[in-house]
Amino acid sequence: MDFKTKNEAGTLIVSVGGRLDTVTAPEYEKQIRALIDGGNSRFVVDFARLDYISSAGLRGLLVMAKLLNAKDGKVCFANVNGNVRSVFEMSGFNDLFKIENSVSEALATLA
Amino acid sequence: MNRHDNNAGSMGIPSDDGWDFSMLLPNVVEALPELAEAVEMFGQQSGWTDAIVMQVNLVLEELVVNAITNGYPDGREGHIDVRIKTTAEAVHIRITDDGNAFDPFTVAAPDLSLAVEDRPIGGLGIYLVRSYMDYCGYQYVQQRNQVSLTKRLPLSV
Repeated sequence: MDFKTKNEAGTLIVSVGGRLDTVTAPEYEKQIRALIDGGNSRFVVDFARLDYISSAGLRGLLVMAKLLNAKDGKVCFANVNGNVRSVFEMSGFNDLFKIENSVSEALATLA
Repeated sequence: MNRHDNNAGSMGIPSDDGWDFSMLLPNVVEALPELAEAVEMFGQQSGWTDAIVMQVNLVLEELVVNAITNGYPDGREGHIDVRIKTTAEAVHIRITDDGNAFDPFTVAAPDLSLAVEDRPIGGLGIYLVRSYMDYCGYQYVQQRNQVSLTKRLPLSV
């Protein structure tokens, strides 16, 4: 997994690539916790570069959403395609999260 | 001694020597990337679609992690044996481990209608396995857990 962030007018865009699985999800959770603890409360997660997600990765996303809910924060997902979309649909995550087709649409949703 | 591990005959599950892919893993999650890579290569050689490669890797990850987490509470060393047989019609998977007896398919299905605050952390792994596979079976045979899975492949044109 690789993890990149970019600040866009107060919203943090997190781009996650590779695999979000049992081995890598703890690192994702750790990075997200640090960002939320550091005062960030508005996030767009961009899945364009993510090839694979398992239940461990879903767990990381759920932890993120719970942490943000507790702080009145917001998250919107973008570019949930292919294999990642399939797993989202199977697990009901499509109904659980705000999802937009692109990062710019996700930013507009949070604005 | 009788072996009962190939009795799902109607599902076309292969006999012991009929597997195309075989890998023995130590009971640590650090073994997963090597398994994923090997399965991806095997799947591509076998002509699976990207979606099938992903689904097979996902169910293997979920079940191997499940076996590691539930099977060895005393921290002892163990092994998990992963086997795959692929035909034009289906992919057959058998996962065997020497952990404590545990049937993963007794885990209750999660409530997908719950909101973020109420959704429990976890519980989705086995649900995903059931959702993606067409057949899921469990047996405890010769002091080993044995999970058998079948994924039907779409007919190619």
